[in-house]
Amino acid sequence: MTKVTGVFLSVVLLLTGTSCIKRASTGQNVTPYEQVMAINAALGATNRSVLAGVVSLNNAQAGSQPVLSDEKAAPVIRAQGKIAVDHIALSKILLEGPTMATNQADQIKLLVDDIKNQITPLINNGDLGVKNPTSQANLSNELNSVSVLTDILLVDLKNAGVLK
Amino acid sequence: MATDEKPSKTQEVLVEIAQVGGAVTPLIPIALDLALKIKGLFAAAGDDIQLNIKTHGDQAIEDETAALEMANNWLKSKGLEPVSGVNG
Repeated sequence: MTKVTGVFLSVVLLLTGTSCIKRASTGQNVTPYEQVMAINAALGATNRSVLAGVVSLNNAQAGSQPVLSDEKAAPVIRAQGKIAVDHIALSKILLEGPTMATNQADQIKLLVDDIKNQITPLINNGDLGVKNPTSQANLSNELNSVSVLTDILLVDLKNAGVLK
Repeated sequence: MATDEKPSKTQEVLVEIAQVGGAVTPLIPIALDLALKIKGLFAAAGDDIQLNIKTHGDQAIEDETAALEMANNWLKSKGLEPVSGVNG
């Protein structure tokens, strides 16, 4: 995905966002903090899914060569591991509830920023070294999903009053 | 996640925006995939707010713990330094 389309997707998701999604059981709006936690869960599921995809591309063989070389896979996998570390720490804070989370706003901002700092260079890199164009596009898109969800999480944290 | 539900407003809006120009057509599956993922998480939400918060928080930690283990297993298998663990 190009930067332009990535930005477009981010804007679309941020504008339409999750503000109009309602609780399935009653049709009522979920609370802003529940929204934070749902997006937070989506981020975790996505990072795990993307990481599994990267490892799979590294294991997959095209001829005698892996689709994604060890050299190219290593920085992506390391970055996603670091995202996991940050995100576990973030999730533990968020599990303490909105009041405690608000008291740790600075730490939350640092963790969210660090997640963005891990994923952004991978997206900006563009060519991740995957020879198959479809696999390359899919990997780029999935990495962008992590970035978009982080952006949405940031917006929702502000909407919930956790961050200013 | 149920796939036969009526599209949410978010999905409808995404499709409408994405249909504006052919150039953005490739974005539809990506945006919808994300929207569906988020929608699925909300669909699972019950009426107990505290339980929802705990369930989603625990889910995030479970997924990222598995991701970290996957990353470190791969790094160690290649003779590389693993990512350091989680504090607290």
